[in-house]
Amino acid sequence: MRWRTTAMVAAVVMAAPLWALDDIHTLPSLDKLAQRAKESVDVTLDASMLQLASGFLSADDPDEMRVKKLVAKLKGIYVRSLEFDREGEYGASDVEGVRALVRAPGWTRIVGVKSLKGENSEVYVKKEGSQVGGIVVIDTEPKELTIVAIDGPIDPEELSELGGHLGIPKLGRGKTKAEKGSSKGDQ
Amino acid sequence: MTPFEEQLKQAMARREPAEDFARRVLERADREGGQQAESGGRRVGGKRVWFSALSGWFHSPRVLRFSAAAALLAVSGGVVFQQHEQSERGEAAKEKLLTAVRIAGVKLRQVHRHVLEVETPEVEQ
Repeated sequence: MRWRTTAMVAAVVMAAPLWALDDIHTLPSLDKLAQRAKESVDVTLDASMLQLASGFLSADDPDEMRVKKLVAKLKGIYVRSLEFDREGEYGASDVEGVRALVRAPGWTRIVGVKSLKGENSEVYVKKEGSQVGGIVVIDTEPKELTIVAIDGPIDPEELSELGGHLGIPKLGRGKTKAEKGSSKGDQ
Repeated sequence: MTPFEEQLKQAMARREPAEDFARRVLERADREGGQQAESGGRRVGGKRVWFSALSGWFHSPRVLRFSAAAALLAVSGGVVFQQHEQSERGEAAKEKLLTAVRIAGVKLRQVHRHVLEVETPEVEQ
């Protein structure tokens, strides 16, 4: 009897990291929120869909070739982005379901930013040895909620190289509040 | 080239059939088809004459040719449709992928900006 319990616990612990990212797009709380959202983006690309999509990326387009290189080893990309008409359409409990998924072993929160304007960001990474085996970004704003989950080995540097392409702002050293203040003063 | 190879080459050389070859083959096929239908009808004592006639009709060269052409058309149509469907699925997947990468990139950029903007960011390692 004891070995059965041990086996079940081991199976659950081992399975936890596997279902973590796949379940982000099927969270009931997000589906309910999507019904109230003004705009909703739901992208679910598993390994086979990524492979299919990669085959259609143009070799003549440098931006698309960058994307192809980036997603070559990925197992999945999941994006849920919800935009609401009013503030307060979703609460902390709605996001808690996503946070629970990245509490699985192997996941670490590397960034947590809270601002007075209610723009909060969290970045979780899954460490696989010295490599990053997955990234989850949870970005909450008063009228917007975005969750990005990338499953598989990814080099954040490669993702940052996409800055300035595909409509992504260039990743550089942004201006801090102090810098903004001084530049205002200069004008 | 050895004499044997020369003979083999001559034996295997392409020869045009007689002018009436196609007509003779079709006539013979029609004749044999008719005979089969007749013998089938006799065997069952007239009860399944319509079946034998239908069977003979299906075995007639004209119907066989038409059936082969229809099958070829259906198969090639299916292949073209499948390729078109695969292409549409691929293009849709590509658009989804580009959207996902775009959103991921923009959000990571925003996080980067937040880290720089917030005076006391909570950064855990």
